[in-house]
Amino acid sequence: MTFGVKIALPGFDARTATPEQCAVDSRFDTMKVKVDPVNPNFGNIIVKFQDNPVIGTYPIYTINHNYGYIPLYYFFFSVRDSTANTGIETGNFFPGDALNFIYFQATATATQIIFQLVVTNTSIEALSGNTYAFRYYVFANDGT
Amino acid sequence: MNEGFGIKVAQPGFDVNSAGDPNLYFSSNWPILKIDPKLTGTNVPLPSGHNSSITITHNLGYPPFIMLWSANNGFWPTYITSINSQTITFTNNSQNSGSNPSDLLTYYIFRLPINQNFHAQNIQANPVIPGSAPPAAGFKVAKPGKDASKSKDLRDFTINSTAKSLMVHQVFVGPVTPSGNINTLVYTPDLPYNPVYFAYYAVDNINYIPLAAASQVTPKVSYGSIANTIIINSGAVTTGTGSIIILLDPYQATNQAVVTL
Repeated sequence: MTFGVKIALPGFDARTATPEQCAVDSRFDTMKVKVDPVNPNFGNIIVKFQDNPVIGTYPIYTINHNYGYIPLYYFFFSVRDSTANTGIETGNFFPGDALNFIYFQATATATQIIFQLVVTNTSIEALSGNTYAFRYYVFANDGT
Repeated sequence: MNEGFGIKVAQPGFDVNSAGDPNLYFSSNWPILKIDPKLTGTNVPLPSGHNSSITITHNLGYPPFIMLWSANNGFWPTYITSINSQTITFTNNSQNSGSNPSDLLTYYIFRLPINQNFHAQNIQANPVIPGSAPPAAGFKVAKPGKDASKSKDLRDFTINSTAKSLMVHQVFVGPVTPSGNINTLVYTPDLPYNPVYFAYYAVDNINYIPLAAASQVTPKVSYGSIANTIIINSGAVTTGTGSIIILLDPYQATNQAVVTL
């Protein structure tokens, strides 16, 4: 490259390292999450369900990013209070995955993202009175 | 830092010599997830119809880490039905049957092999959460053709210390083997916090698919906080290869909003 930065991982020579052997290679973009204490672009949303929750669509969190473009975002179930005394589970519970009583959706514009939780079945024992956590990232990467 | 060489950048308020991993914006021990600009897809049509598919060729020589977004569904790795060393296939499987609507896909392919073990050095992995204050000083690296001194658009930068970039702690690859009535790959993270992770599985050891934790069917992945293990479960019949990508990022951030429904 004419200009730029390459920083090799330990044990590799930056002059000859492949992109896979570099910590940074400025020819390649990265997934960037803005550090913003006022409008956190990453974090957790804790949702506490009361007894006998009602089927419906609930806005649970709004991020005013004001990027001027629709950013890519990543939202997933991160922690689930277990009802089987097996401890906390975490994982990539994909947005439309088979937790068959709730799923996630979002409304994204060039200025804000509204995360919504859709409750589809309230007869599930695992929902009523329990707490769920969700992890989100809003990336400063153009999704349009 | 390994052999005394390298770069570390701490957040404001932290001593770079003692800051824990989450207090660092950057360390040259950790590879940042690097997007290959030649392999990025934006608004790529996925035809309608049950199980219609498209295949893209990347020719990286290894199955790469990928993130996929769907215009219809948002972040949607479910469409990824094969990642191998040459190609990636997306399949319109949003419903089990019937005529699935067409969709538009945006995907990033990263220069990170998911079939090769990698383990970054732990520096000091105490679980302090980043993001407590905006930086008064920092560093930034602009993309080719962009002016780092003038631009305020984060899209113009490879790294900018007003943002954290996703960094990799480990790629753990291993065989999925019989364990009782099922086949599993069990991994214990060596970080003192529950890390953000992704998991993949290849029944034929070649074509990987992403795994979900809430799936009602196998293959699936789960994490248990008591045993502190991530488990890939391929079910009662199939073995194969599993891959777990661990990011240097705690699952439970201090940036928390609480909602009661």
